Amino acid sequence: MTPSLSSWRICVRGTVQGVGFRPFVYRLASKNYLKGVVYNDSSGVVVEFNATSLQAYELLAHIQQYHPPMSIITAATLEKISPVFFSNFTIQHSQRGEHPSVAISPDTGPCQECIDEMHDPNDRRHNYPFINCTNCGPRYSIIHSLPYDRPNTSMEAFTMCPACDSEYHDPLNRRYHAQPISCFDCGPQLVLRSSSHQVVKQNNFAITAAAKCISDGGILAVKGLGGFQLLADATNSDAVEELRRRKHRPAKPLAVMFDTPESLRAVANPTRTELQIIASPARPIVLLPKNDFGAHLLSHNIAPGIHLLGAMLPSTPLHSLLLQKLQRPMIATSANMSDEPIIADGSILYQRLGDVYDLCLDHDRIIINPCDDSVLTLTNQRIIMLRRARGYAPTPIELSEPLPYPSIATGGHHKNTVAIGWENTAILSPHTGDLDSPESQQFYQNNLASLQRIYNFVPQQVTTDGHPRYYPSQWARETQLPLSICQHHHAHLLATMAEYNLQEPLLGVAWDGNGYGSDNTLWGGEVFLVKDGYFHRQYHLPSIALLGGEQAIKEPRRAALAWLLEFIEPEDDILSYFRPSSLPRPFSQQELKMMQSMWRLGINSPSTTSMGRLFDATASLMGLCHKLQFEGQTGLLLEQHFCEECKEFVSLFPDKNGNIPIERLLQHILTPEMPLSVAISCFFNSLAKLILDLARHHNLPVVCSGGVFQNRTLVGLLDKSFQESSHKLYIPQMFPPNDGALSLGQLMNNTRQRI
Amino acid sequence: MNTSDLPEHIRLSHGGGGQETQTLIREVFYRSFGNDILLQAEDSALFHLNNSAHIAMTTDSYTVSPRFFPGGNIGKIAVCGTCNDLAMVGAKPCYLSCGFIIEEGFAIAELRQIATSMASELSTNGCQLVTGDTKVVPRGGVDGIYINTTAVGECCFTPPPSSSSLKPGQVLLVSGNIGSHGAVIFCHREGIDVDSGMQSDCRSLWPVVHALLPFQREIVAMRDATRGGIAAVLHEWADQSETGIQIEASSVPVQNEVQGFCEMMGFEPWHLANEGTFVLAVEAQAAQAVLDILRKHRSSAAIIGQVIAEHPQRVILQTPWGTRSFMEPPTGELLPRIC
Ligand SMILES: [Fe+3]
Ligand SMILES: [Mg+2]
Ligand SMILES: [Zn+2]
Ligand SMILES: [Zn+2]
Repeated sequence: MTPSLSSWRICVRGTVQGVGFRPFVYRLASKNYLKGVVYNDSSGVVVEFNATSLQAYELLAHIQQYHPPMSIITAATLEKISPVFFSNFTIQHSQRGEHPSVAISPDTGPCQECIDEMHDPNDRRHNYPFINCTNCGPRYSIIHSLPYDRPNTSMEAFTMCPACDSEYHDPLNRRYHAQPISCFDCGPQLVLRSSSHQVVKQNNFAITAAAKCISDGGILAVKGLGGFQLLADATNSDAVEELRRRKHRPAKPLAVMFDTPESLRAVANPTRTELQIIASPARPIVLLPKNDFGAHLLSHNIAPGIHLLGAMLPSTPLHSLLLQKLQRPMIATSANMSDEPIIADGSILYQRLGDVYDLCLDHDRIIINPCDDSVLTLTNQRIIMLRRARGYAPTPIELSEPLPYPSIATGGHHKNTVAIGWENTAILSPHTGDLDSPESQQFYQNNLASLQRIYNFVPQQVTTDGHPRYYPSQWARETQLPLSICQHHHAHLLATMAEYNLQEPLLGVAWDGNGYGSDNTLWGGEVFLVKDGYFHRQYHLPSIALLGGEQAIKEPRRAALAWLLEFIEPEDDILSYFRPSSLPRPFSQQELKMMQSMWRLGINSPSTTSMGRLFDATASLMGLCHKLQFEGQTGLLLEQHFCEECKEFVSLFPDKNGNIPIERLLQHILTPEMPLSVAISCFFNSLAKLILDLARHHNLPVVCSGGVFQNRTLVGLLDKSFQESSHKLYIPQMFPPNDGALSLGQLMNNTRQRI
Repeated sequence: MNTSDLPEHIRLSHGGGGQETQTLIREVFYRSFGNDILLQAEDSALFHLNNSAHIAMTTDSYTVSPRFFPGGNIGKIAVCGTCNDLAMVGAKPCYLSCGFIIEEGFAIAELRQIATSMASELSTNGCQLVTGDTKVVPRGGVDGIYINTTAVGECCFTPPPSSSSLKPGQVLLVSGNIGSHGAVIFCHREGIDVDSGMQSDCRSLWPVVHALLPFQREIVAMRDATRGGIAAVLHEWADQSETGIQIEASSVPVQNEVQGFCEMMGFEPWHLANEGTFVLAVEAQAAQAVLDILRKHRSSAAIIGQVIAEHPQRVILQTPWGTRSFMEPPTGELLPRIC
């Protein structure tokens, strides 16, 4: 006797469309002989079916446990509904005109099944560079608008051959309704172009010639998922040097792509978590400590003077084929100049970088939404997201409080991302880059237009930063929408509060480079008491002068001098405070005189409470770096001298005016007899101790954000010291602590009236 | 417009040459004196007297501190500055008037020195000082000496160069190294000593403009890049012509010492004042010939960019490696944006 059947409904929300969710449910239901229907609606996927109550709960549990790899379930509910009759289990197709408020998936690297097929000489897609399935391949980068169906993607240009078509229509095939599938007979075509834009090879001959270009020491441009990259042999120092010269990138570390986790293990000792993340569908660049072999096997000029290596695995089947031919790791860096946006079109690449590459491996699948590589690092088990782009964005974020009206958040001027939000949903664009050039400002506008088009989104409000010189602030004014300003560091903290769904009251530590403060000076070393919707600026670093404005950010020696001038006796020999090192002296006598005049007269010397500049100053005083070669260099250099065994610290508990007495720390670590590593460890220990002391003093959870929390050593120390205490610590993981998450915080600012 | 744009009292910033100066002029002087010629708001006024040729006239007052600096003094500037305004509309400076306001106790020897350099600069221009006025005020009434000069000249360019008619494709030139006057004055005023041999570019421009006469039809606009530097000129031209301007950053001639000074102070050379360097917009086909003439007078003259159709009203800087950014208009302090 079978128990009586009832009708049930399961609703699944999250990233559940365009990721093979319906066929997955179809297979699950068929296996259990259930009858019913699965379909997409505006909020996600809905399953209606007849089953016993046990079967219904089992189906829900299976969905939650085994959902497709690219899907993200934010909520799944089961309810009983009035009886419906079903004769079998079916997939109901999307209806046009549905409100497209569901999430689109980010792009992902090839799945293992596709890689295996590609390497199988008997498979019809053997060595096929565009192989993909429901579980992998391009998504966001090829979407023009929702719903996510082939005609709304750049695969629209390619008509499926009968073989692909039958896979596409077979619910039991893993390519069922995989929109971007294709094969040699019907898919995009590879071409290899010379540096004068002439086609020299086609199809898979192009791959062979491209790989040869790299192994001969040349520079290859290749069209990846989200845009063009430049590739070179990572074991050939001359090739790397040439790439640096042509790209005008003398010292900034370059990322290296490895064929397999095994080949990566030859040069680094990644932890299990690191390996999992490197091999995850998002295929990010992960900064890992190099091992001793790394120094021998890889070219010495990949990350000169830096203990970390940016490593990644193939982000497309094409990369995998190239590496298979090359048989050694290759440099993979975005094909753009400095921090400009990634280039996604072959002819633009030719115009802008024609003299940088020797050959260009291009194809005719259009990138509609360009998207750079993501970059992250780990300390212990914790992720620190440095650049959130391909593979992670634009995944939607569930907000704990609804937005009062559909809003745009503009983000900041550098490391820009934009966000749109409505009700409880926020969508953060991938990383755009710095908005200094006409091209990047255009990219910013396109990014926003894409999000608005894809989500059919009409904003009623815009939120931006208070900095008068940020491009997005100017842009926001021109929209004529009602405008609200969210203070830079409030936005940093609100983004982290959104990530962890945090409630006030709490203590917010916002330590970063510079952000426009409510008193019209630049902040960056603040601690806020976040309470009743207010940010009380409780503690901060003392102000120092940025001698020469932006020059002071490019040259740590200036921050060092400003700190010295603030607290040492004027008759002292200032240069004697800098620790002797292999670097040239920080200043000539004449430079020193000019700087002192600037300081005395306040010429082009805006004041700042920045913690980032304190890191700079310390690195310069310790003799590690007087002029930056790339952003974030001082933090990396300081990290390398940190010694875990050293427990020395100076108490930095603030005075009654809220000033953090940094001069005490500097005076202590400037003792000439103190070993370098003790001084630097003391620096980190004291900062971590300060945060813990403040958590204890206020007896509140602590939320940290701002670029300083990209530092692995500081974050690692905080993790450890808070584990031993009863206080909670929140540091961003899935969103960058740097300005890349400002737009999310700006959106959050609207969920409640804040000051 | 209403007068509420003005505060009750004059502020220093009303003389700064920026938005507030414009408001003051519009709300006070144009209201009282507005006429067709004045309202053209050019540095020099152009008009006829009965059947005479076109006449150009301009006036300026000089309060420069320090009075003596490497490359010039207040007297030299008082002649060059005013005569240069005439030269920029293609007019030959002919007659000059001069008013001195002198503080009690001022050294006669210094006054002689000032007069001598004025005389030498007048002869360079082929210009005569034909009328003058002298006032002495009690100590503290002025800071040493103030000089006002007015010059009348004869228009030699037909049509006179105009700043509002730039067209895409035209080429931009600068007559020599930029920023040296601003850098020199800055160092002397703030007591920053740079023993570097920086010299003000202070000079009279009529001789070189005279040499450009054969190209009067191809020269679209000329402007001496005084306060606000070439950035002020380029922005004003882009603004008035509703075109974009693209500048090749590495082509902009800057003396090494000035470049070093800028890097040290965090300034951009295109924001620094000049006192004898001008920007030209010319038809592309004449650019090389104009450059050749400019170089005979100053070897550092250069082609620095062109007028473009894209990015109207903005000035774009192209770096040697192909990246582009925007040239900031000359405003006060540039608050850093880097986080
Ligand atoms: Fe920031
Ligand atoms: Mg004048
Ligand atoms: Zn796959
Ligand atoms: Zn096919």
